[in-house]
Amino acid sequence: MTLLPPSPSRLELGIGLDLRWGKEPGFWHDPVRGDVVSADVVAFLDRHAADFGHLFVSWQPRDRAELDARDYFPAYDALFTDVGASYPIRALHHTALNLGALEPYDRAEILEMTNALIARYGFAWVNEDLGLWSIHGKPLPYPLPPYLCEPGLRAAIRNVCEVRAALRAPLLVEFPGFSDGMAFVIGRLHAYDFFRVVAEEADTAVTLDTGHLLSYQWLRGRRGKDLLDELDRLPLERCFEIHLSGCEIAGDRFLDLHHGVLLDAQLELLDRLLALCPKVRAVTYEDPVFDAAGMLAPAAARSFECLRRASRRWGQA
Amino acid sequence: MSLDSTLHALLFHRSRREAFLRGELDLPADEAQALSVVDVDQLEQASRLACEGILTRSHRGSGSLLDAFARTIAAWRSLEHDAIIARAQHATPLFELAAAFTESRHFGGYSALPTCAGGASLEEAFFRFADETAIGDAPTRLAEYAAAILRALVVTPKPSFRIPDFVHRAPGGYFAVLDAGPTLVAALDGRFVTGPITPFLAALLDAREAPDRVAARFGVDARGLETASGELRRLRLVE
Repeated sequence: MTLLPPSPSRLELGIGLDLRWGKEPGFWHDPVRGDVVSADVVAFLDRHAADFGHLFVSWQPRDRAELDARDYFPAYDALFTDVGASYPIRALHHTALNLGALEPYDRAEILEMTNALIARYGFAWVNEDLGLWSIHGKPLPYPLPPYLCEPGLRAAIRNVCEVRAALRAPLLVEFPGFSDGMAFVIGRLHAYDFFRVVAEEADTAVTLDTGHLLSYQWLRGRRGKDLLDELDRLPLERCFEIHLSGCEIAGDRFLDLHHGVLLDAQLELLDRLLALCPKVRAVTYEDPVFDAAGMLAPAAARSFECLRRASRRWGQA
Repeated sequence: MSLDSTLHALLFHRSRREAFLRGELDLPADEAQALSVVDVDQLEQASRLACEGILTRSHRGSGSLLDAFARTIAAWRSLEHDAIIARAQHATPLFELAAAFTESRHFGGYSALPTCAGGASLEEAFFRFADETAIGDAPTRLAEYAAAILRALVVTPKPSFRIPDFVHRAPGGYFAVLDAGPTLVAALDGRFVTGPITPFLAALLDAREAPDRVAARFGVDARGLETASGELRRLRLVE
């Protein structure tokens, strides 16, 4: 039976933040207090505590030390202490599981560290793109899609099975991005079919990112209403979470910018997916841009208001 | 070659990528079929991002390679300008350097977290590449490399990467003595320390020779030796 996160039990809106080290918004090292979360993050989360039910943070390597979860405790402790009782449902967005890798990839240490974080913070799920974050140990600036061919499919299934079995929280595998200039396709399998087969064969729950889905169809040359086609090829029954990060169309380029400004097509796709995914419980607004006082940038604020209005309708439903 | 090795080559080895684009890369049939759908423009853009990202990716403590090897890279820019202009229109100086580095054997020996397991650091790979291709002058290259490693060790005393042989353990952390000067470069008790030292102190820090022999060689009496040793102990450079 597919392992789904136990909470949230009802559909809700949440927030996802990519907290990098040494940059705002993110974590930084204070000579006196040690590792802390930047004030803009705390201000943003305080300001929107009533709007979001869940919070995920993206794992980023703190430094180049040997992996040890204890190195991450001070910063994560600071974050969750600062948000207090708000955001009772917390999750982790991984960036190092390399689920699309074809080559052998030793995950023992990263899984051990992840499980220690799960144990300490009670993460309700761990989410990760079905893609390549590195190849032959060389980091990539943006995860590449998996190899859309039979060997790539078998490897992805094997990887997801390994990670799902090892993690002490449910794994949500995310449909990867195909943003212009950062991704290209290898192999002839349809990415929706590839993703569905991986989810089914590895028996995992999934995350559908609206920008990632649109970017794939855009890369295939689809435009307008056609961008929303073929949703039935996705593992809709297994979808627990939907992501909305800011995207932009510049000329004929589809850009997954993570700036919080949503395309109308993303909101339309969200509506379609909510109607098609019976087990979806989490809609996550991902990486919006905000200022030092935690105020959303004006363009992002308009997108967020659309989302907030929509979430009130879910509550009534 | 396997498909992942081919993808690695397409992203990081310009000569292999150009051969692929000319249809001259010898590939097994199944790989050729999988790669037949690759969008050439997207591949070029992704490769440029990946290669330039190697130079601009910042690491806690030492910053990026552009930060760490600022003077070495400045020397490269001044020498390579004509060759860069002669290349394709879209090429940038940064990409030219990145492409040359990522195609080198030294880059091949580097691996990032979480799969590095005591391998070469990015700084070591770049230093060896710059050394082999004679970018900048040797003392500057070494000084920048040493400073980058010691700065990294300030914030990561248990690094995942290999520590170079010229960096030594000390009670307070790590240190290196560079011939030029000589110069001490150290990560001691959470601080980066660097500066010129006397040849006598440099020799004392070289554990290959007993302190009293070093003192005799430099004509330093017992009191002078004790003063110097006390200073090194105070800095936690020696026991």
